[in-house]
Amino acid sequence: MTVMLRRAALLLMMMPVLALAEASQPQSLLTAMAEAYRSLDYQGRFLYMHGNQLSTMKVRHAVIDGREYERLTHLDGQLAELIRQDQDVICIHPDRSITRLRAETGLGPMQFQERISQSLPVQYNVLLDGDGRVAGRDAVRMRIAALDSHRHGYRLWIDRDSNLLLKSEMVDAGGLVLERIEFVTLEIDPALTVEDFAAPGAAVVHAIEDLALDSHPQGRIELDMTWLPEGFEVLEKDLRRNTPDRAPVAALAYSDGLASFTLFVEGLAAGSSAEEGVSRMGPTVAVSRLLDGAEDTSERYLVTLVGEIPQDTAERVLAAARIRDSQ
Amino acid sequence: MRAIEGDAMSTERELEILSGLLDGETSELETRRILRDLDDTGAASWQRWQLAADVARGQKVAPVPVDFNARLSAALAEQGPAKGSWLGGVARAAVAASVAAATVTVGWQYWGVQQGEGQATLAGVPTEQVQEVRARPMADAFLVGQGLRAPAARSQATADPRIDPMLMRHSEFAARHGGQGMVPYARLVSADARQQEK
Repeated sequence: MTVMLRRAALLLMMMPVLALAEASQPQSLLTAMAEAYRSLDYQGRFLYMHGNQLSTMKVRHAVIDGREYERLTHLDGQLAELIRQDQDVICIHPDRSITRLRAETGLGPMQFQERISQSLPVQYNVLLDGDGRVAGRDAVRMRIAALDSHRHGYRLWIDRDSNLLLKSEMVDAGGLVLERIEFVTLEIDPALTVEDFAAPGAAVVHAIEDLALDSHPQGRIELDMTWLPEGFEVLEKDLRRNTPDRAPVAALAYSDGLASFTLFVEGLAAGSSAEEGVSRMGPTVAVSRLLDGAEDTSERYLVTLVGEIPQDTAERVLAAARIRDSQ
Repeated sequence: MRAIEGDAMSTERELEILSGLLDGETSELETRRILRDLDDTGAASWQRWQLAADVARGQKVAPVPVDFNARLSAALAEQGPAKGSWLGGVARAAVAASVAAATVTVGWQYWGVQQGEGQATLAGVPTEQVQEVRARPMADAFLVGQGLRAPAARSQATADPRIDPMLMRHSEFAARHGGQGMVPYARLVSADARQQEK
């Protein structure tokens, strides 16, 4: 009797602690979310919005014989699709031509899942924000606030049952929603087969070809960054060409674990022109800037940043870029 | 969100706000509010802002403040390439462009050597053809603003209709490294589908 009482008392004492421990682990929920996105079979329809643009889309995802398949189909307006098989991505454009993004052959990058399971980026404050309901499903709401002005915040709705991301908003410092994605229907474990992910035949196939970095002078251009927003680091570097007759363009991918931006560097041929400036579409900003090469050369380079970071930060990153002549 | 009564009324009001925005007469708060309205209103408001785009293309479709185009042009002409606060210089042009371009279905510039042909028009003004221009993704979102002022020395409409490879590469990176699952892919597919919808 006393033992039981003691146990009950102990349990009562521990319960708030357990609850607290669970509630203070948005990190494990984020890890579970990343895991669910990769490992579950599901299909559903969702809305994608930015500004006054609204797209309706369908997603199918399955793991078949150890391979991961994903297909996104644009349902209204023009038909555009994206099919992914593990790391191979194919874009099917409205004119039914296809672009193949060759998977990189180098060292495997550190996946979000691994990064996030180690630690959340310190530049964010993450907290659970009660319950919500999306696509008829119960969701846990999560708020990820940026602690400095160099990144956007997020609001996530994560499915209680499956841990899938049901709704996501990217928010700027002023609380303005830059982009929203929201499921309206979601089916877990639909019977999907490899045929559901078969690419249609296309008359024209473009391949964004992956090249070894040292195979072309463009791959040997080095950038010195005199400033980077805290927490961002280079995760990948590659060199790709769009078509065999074009010069390849080198890219450096940066991420802080949540947000990412990519720097593209290309040497300009004599006589070709390039424009500097800023453009924006939804949460994505594209900024380009002309840089002079190392001293006593007349080389000129165009550096373009594409990413989902605040425009001021993007401009500052570009202003901090210097070409190092490593040839 | 503000209640909208008469369509013509609200359009005129919107254009005044837009005009003020372009003249830099709005405070940061107001600007944020305008942009927030743009974001939060759904498909219904699209038409209202489509009017702005029509204006940008020089089509008379709505009661437009008489000096709207002139003020817009003047405001844009004033801007140098200077960088400043987020509403200054280039940023303001980007705001202007994003206001106008959000409704003009934005095409994407293929980067690399242009293989364009023929004469193109932007805002009703014939633009010159240039053989070699590299442009960043979404470059014409910016040039919507420039095109109002003068013939842009570039041939935007001859851009390859394909979606920008930089955007594809970035989206692919972002999907693998970012924390938003399929969101970068959704962003890409949406942009791809929208870009040929002219």
